[in-house]
Amino acid sequence: MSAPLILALPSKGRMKEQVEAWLGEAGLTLKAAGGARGYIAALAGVDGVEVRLLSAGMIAAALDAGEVHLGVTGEDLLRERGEGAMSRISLIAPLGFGPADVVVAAPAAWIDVATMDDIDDVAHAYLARTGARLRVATKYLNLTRAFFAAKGVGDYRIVASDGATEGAPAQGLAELIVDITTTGATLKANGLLILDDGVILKSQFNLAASAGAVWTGGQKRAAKDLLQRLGLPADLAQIAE
Amino acid sequence: MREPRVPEGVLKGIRAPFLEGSPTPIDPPVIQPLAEMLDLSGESKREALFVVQGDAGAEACLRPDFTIPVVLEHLAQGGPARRYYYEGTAFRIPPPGRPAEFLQIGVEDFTGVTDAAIAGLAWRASLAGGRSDLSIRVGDVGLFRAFLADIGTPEAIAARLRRAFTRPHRLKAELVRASTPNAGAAKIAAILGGGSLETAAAAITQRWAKDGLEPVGGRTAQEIAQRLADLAEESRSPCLAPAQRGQIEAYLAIVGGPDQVRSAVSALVKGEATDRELNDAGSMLNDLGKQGVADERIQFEARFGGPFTYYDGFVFQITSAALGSERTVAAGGRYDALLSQLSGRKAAAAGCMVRPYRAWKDAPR
Repeated sequence: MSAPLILALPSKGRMKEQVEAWLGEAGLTLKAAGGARGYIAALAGVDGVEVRLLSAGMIAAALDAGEVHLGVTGEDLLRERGEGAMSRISLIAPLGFGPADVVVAAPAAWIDVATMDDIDDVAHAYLARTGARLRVATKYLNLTRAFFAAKGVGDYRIVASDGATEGAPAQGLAELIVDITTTGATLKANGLLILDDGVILKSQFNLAASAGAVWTGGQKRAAKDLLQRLGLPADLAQIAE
Repeated sequence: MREPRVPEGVLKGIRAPFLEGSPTPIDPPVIQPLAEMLDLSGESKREALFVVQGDAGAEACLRPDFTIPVVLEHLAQGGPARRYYYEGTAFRIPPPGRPAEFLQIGVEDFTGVTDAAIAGLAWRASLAGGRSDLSIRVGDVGLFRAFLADIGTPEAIAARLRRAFTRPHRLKAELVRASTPNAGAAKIAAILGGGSLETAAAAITQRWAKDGLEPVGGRTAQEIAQRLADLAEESRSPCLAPAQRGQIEAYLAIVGGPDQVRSAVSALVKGEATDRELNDAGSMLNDLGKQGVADERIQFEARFGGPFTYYDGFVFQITSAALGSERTVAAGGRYDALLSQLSGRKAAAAGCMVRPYRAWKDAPR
C-alpha cells in the first residue's frame, strides 16, 4: 500500500467539535483508528488519508516542518511562525469558523491613549522617566514585533506569556498585551481596551498545505479528491510541484 | 554555520589601527542578560539574538556585538575615561547562508574622541584587509536637530521628529501629524477642565471610580494628566507650516559627497546658529579627508540614522562594492545619550567595529 496523505486536525475541545461539524457538512466522519491512544484516525469511506489529531499549535509546527500534508488550524498560529514559514505553508481556504482577532490592548485607565501613535508617545515618556521600556505581554512574539515595527513603535519590550496573558497588566508584569480575542469581554474584565488601530490580524481556522512535505503522486490525488469533497478549490499546483 | 578563520597575518594588519594609543583590552562575557540587552537596544533586535536559558534563572542571550557588553563592564568598573579594545566572536541568527558566529574587532571610546577619528580608525582597519572597493556612508542626527531649530520648527514638533528619525514610517506619520491641526484638542480640554494638574488628576481618578476602571499598567493619574496637558499645549501651538514641511522633506532627501552636501544644506538654511553646526558637519567631512578617506569614497545621507537605536549623533557604515550594502564591513558611531543615561552624568561615548573576514580581500566565497 502506498503512503497515505496525512491530514492534521485539532485533537480536543471546541475546535475539534467545529472541525467535525465542518467535515459532517461534506458527509465525512472521523473514525478512531484504535491503538496509538486515539491520536490517529481515518475518514470513514475515504481511502488513502490518515488523520493525526494534534493541538492547534502542533499542527502549525507540523505544517511548517513538512511532517503533515494538510492541516486545519488558526491563521494566527501559522502567521506567528514568521515570514519564512509562510513560504513553506500555503493557506488553501479560510473555513468560516474559529474567528478571533489578534489585538493590542492597553489599560482602559489610560484615558489619553487610543492609538498606536499614543503608545509611541507614552512608551517614549516611560523610557525617559524610568529608563525601562514599556512591557508587552504576549505569546505572539513574531506578530507583535512585525506589527510594532510597521507602526514605527520602538520603545517597548516583549515579555513572553504562555497563558492568561490578559492578567499581566493587573499583575504588574506588563503594561500592554497582544492577545487573541473574540468578543473583547475577557479584556474588558481585566481593565483593558483594544486600541483603535490595534487589530494585528483577523484570524479564523484555515485549511493549509505544507509545501515542505514530500508529496507523492498518490498523496496529491488523495488531496485533490478530499478538497473536492469538501467543496474547496482543488488546485494544489502552488504547493506540490 | 561558523565564519572561517582569517589568517593571522591579515588579522595583524586589521588589528593594528585599533591598538594605536594602547587602549585597555576588554573581554566581556559571551552570555549577556537578555532583559538588559533588550532594554538598551530595543525589541527589534530580539529577532537576531540567540536566547539561552537553563532550568532556573533569568533568560540570557549570546552577545550579538560588543558595544553594550563593553558599556556594562565599563560602568561596573566605575566608568573611567578610557578607550577599550576588544576582539572576539559575536553571535547572531543570520539570514540564510550566512554565518551565525563571526569575528569582530573594535573599540569603545569614553575619552571624548572626535567623530572623524573614530571613523578614520575603522577606515584604516578595513583598508588593511586589502579591498580597494570600500566606501563610507555617514549620517548625523545632530545635524538634523540643528537644522530643525534653524528653520524655526516648534520645539514639541521638533522633539517628535528627532525621535522618529531612525524610523522612516514613523517620521512620515509625524510630518503629516505635525502639519494637521489637532482635532482632539476640545476633548482633551474638556477632560482637563482648565484647572491645575492636581485638579485634572483628581478628575481622572474620579472618572476611573465612576467607570469601575482599575488603574492597572504602571501610570498614575498625575502622569496621564501631565500628558493630556502636554497634548493640549501642543494643540494650541502652531502646527508645521507647509513651507517648513517642504524644507524638512528636502533636507531629509540630501544624499551625496561632501561638496554636494555642503551646498545642499547651505541652500536650505539661513540662520547663523546652523551655519556653525553646518561648519561642524563640514569640518567632520574635512577631517574624514584628513584621515585619508578620499571625497569620492564618502557619501553623506541626511536620513542615515544607523542600525541601532542607541546611536544619537554621528553614525557611519563602511561597505565593499563586491559584498554589497547588506554585508557591512565596518560600522560605528556616537552614543553619548545612552552612556549619560546609564551613568547618570554627562558622558561622551563613541565606538566602531570591523568584521575582519569581510574586510579580507582574499576571503574564500
